[in-house]
Amino acid sequence: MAKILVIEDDPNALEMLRFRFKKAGYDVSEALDGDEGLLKALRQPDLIFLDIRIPKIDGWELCRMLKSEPRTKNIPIVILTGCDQPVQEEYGKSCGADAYLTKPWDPKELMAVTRSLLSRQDES
Amino acid sequence: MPLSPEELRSLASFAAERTADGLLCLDTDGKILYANESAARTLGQPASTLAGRDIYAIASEMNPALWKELWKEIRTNSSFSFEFQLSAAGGRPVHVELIAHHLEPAQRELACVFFRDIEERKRLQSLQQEFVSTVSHELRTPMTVIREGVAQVVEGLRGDINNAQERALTLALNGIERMGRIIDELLDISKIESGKILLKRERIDVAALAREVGGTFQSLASDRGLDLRVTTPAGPVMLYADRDRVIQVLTNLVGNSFKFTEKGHVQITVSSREGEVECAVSDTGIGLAAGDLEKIFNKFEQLGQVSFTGEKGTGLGLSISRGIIEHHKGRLWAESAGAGKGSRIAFVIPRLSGRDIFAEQLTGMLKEVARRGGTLSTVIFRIEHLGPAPATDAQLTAALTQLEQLVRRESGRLNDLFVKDVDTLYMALQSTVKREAARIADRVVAAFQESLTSQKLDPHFHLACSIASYPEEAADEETFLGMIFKREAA
Repeated sequence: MAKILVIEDDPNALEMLRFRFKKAGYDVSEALDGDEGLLKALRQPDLIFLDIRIPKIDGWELCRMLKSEPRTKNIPIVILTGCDQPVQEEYGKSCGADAYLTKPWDPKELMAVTRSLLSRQDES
Repeated sequence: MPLSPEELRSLASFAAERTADGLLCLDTDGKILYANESAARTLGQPASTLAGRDIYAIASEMNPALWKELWKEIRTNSSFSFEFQLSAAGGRPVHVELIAHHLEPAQRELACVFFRDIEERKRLQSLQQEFVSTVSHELRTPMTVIREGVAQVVEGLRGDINNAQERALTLALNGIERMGRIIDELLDISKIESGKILLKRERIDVAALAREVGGTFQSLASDRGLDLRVTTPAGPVMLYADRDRVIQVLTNLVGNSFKFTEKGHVQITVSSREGEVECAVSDTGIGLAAGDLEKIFNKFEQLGQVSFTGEKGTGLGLSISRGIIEHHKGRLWAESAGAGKGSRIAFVIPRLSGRDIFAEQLTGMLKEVARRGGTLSTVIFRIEHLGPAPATDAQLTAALTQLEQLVRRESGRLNDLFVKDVDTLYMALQSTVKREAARIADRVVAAFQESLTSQKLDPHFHLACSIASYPEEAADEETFLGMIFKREAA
């Protein structure tokens, strides 16, 4: 079963994501801030959803850290944020994220991104 | 009984002293001959001290060339108004809106300058824009939970629901999605109004873009029984513009036409003219009354027309479109022969050269670098064709694309500026000194030469390159810009 780590400080959004991913048959772990996110990322999930405005370590920074750490650099990261797209796209590229979704996300797009990043993971 | 000349004189001096606007009277050398109380208050120094000083002492942005320009303007047009920055006591900057008049008939040539502190207005404006942007971002978090929660119930993830429940929740989802679009549009408007909109201008083929947008409406057209036409010149219509933003504008205009056209056609026309490109969307819809032609560009303006599609817009689309086109230095307007007679919304974007775009964006970057105190280097690559037969556009494009890939590989960073023209690639590298820029350029030239040789193209093409660095080689921005283009030509 593929493992998804969700790093998100809003407990309601977190619950929604957990429910959807579990229903779809994924194993879900959660973190409410950057520090916890970093620790849980080291346990090598197959995919990480990362909110930008999280306490302790900012999402962009955490993304950069995970992408430069040998143990986590191959884990695909999806940035989730309330910021608007073009700026986000630019930052997303510079911090090494694999995809980004704007809040409120489209559930179909959310699942499509999840499936496609996990299947890329299988191939490698 | 009318005022006597004496009464009139005392009224004039009373008015000058008491008016809320700052008032200065200056001679042609820029010496301040008179300052009123408001001017003294705004500039934080007594009126008696102001008189006798010169304009340069209270306006750090003023220089003799600009002063001469201002006089030329007021002599020909009798007055001139603009926004400017004055320096108050202690060097504190004060944003003012000022209007300079040519004072005649005086015994000598004088300039009479009224100004008003707009610091507070600017502060309120930026507060309002910040507010919109914060609120929009804050709204997204709860909306995320609502949308996802409702979607999970509709999809049946939370258990079975009946048709009536599904119907209600589907409508709720539509409402949430509409709210999301409103937030996007509010953010767009706030970015346009604060000038924070970033255009990613590149050379695009507007004709192809118009056909692409037309394509996305084709199925809607057949559903509605409308004829959708796209008319463009046969060849490409190249223009420097932000691709995504132009698509946004065209989509908005075509979408509006579909909303308000019941039968007949919707037509997109692209025409290429000297110095500019015009795009127009015309329809056989409900049209516009003469008095409404400008009104439709007001924010949240909806003329109370019910659309044929039942969709309700936000009333922001056209103001956003106009803002986007104006940020491209173009114009967008509406025409109609009257209510019931269809409408035509058109925009023109001036055709700038790659060099114009580069100079404009570089100026902004230079200001930022000057403020922060950093370095910047520019590198201009030009692909020269040596013959024997003249190069075709396709050959040049292929060579330029290859060059761009090499350049991005050698230097690609987020803050760098790249502008491509037909045969030239302009780039500005932040935090790069000349030596480093030269190293990058050498690597690019070598790699390009190598690729030419491997394709047996080396006798036909040659890559010329010029480099300039700021502030290493030119201390001020203007000299630097002049230097870059002089070197390019050499």
